[in-house]
Amino acid sequence: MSGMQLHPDKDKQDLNKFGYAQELMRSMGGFSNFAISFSIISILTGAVSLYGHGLTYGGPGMMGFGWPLVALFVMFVAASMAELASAIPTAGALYHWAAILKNKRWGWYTAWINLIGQIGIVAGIDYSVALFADPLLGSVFGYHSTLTTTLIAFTVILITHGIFNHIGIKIVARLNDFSAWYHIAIVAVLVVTLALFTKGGLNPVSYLFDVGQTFSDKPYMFAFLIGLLQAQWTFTGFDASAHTIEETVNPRVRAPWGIFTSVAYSFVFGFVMLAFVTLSIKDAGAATGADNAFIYVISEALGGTFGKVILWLVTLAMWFCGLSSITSFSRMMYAFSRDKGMPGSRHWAEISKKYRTPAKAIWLSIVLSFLLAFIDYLIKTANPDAAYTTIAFLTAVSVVGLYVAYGIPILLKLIATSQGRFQNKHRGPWHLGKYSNFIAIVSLLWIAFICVVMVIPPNEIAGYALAGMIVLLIIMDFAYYKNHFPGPQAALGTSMEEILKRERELEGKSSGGGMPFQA
Amino acid sequence: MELALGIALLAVTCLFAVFVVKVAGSNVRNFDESKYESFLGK
Repeated sequence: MSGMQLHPDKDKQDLNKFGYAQELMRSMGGFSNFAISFSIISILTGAVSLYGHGLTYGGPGMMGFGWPLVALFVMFVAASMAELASAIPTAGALYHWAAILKNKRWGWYTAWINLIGQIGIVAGIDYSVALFADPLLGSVFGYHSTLTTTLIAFTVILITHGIFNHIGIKIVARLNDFSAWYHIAIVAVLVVTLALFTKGGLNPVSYLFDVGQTFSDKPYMFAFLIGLLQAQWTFTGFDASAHTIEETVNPRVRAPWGIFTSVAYSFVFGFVMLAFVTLSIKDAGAATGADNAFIYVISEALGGTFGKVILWLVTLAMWFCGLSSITSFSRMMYAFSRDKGMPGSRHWAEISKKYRTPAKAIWLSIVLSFLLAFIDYLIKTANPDAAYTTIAFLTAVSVVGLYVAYGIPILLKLIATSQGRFQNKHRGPWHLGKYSNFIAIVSLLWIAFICVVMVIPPNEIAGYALAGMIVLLIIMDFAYYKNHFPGPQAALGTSMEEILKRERELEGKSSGGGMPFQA
Repeated sequence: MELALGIALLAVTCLFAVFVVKVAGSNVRNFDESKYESFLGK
């Protein structure tokens, strides 16, 4: 993807300039960096688990118009973030960018908002896996899926992700690489099968762009906006390419390509998949009333057995998605703790000397994700008639949290550029030149719009939850962090001697396999 | 009409992706390392 030479030592030196030692193992190539974001976006997770949501609110036109509309604007956001990743290649990414573009307090708030979004995305993804896996396991082992069994399945899935992430970036990177091809293969199988074997043939192409039909009680335009959650949630998590930047060789080129191309390819493959699934719909009303609209449509088009096979295949794709999301979340938390931004930072910034992974941060990310879903479980148990769905709640929290965190550094870079602090010489190799500011402004407008859309009824509970968390952050900030958070600027004072000493310590004790800086 | 609008939207989205790839790709190829300076926020 680049004509630039690979210089692992140069990558390390770039990181050292920010005052950080090369603690994580730098072994990811360009495809692995792309694959981690592509796996978290996971068209087989977001677009499938929220297919019923999109169809219920926006009808078939949600797939024809909603998906490309969201993809277009998300590409603006991804391009703006890619520029930042190229300029400031550190694992803290969003928060580190905000901290050095403005000040440490902006960084601190960005980190926490990002963290809230990350909790939401991990919980949302793994809850999706549980929603698919639990009824499947129930049919094998003869039990009926309930809220409680779903929560148990969710917990087991989280633990498996924790174990794989703990034992090393190499195995996770290999699984991510496989996951990217797996996603493409499943989409190809699905599309070809639907094209050739749909009972009674496919609907005319115009059906895909049929607007005005909603299966909700809302007016169509309003319902269409609510339905955008399907695509918007799918296109989250591509910041993973930036969070794994300290594990990527030639990161100033590969990570930005990873961010942008993961969104672009997801748009293409996702659209093809959604188009064929929607064109095979026999009865949209019945599909929206089914437990799982996606499986209902597939089963009606191809028969129940094939529907079940697809269900297993999609569940595995979702599992890969959750695996990658824990990697991204833990790196973000590791980087933030490295700068002492969290309670107990000393622990979360600790690196497993055996595996060169932020082991404690990995397990903390699992506990936090579990807690978010567990709180929702308690609310649902106490109030079984609650109008919202758990998955819509978790996904709305993650969309707003992540996109606000994406937007803050984009805004701060615009301001820093207008003030002359961020100049052309600071741009990394991957940049948008004279189009940079325009693309950043469009990104910010979209983020503002989507943050409102994601918390309007019936998802207002996500808005309340986010507002509550923001209030808590403000209290934490004024009570302690305002005066005690050193921020990434403090790391700039670290001497090269200390940095090299730390690197030597880890190199001597690492047994994760392979050289730390190998390409 | 809706079909035409839908196809137009798809075309715009694809063209934007291609545009970004071309612009960024060209900048990566022509990058001059000697002019680069890390932004440390100091």
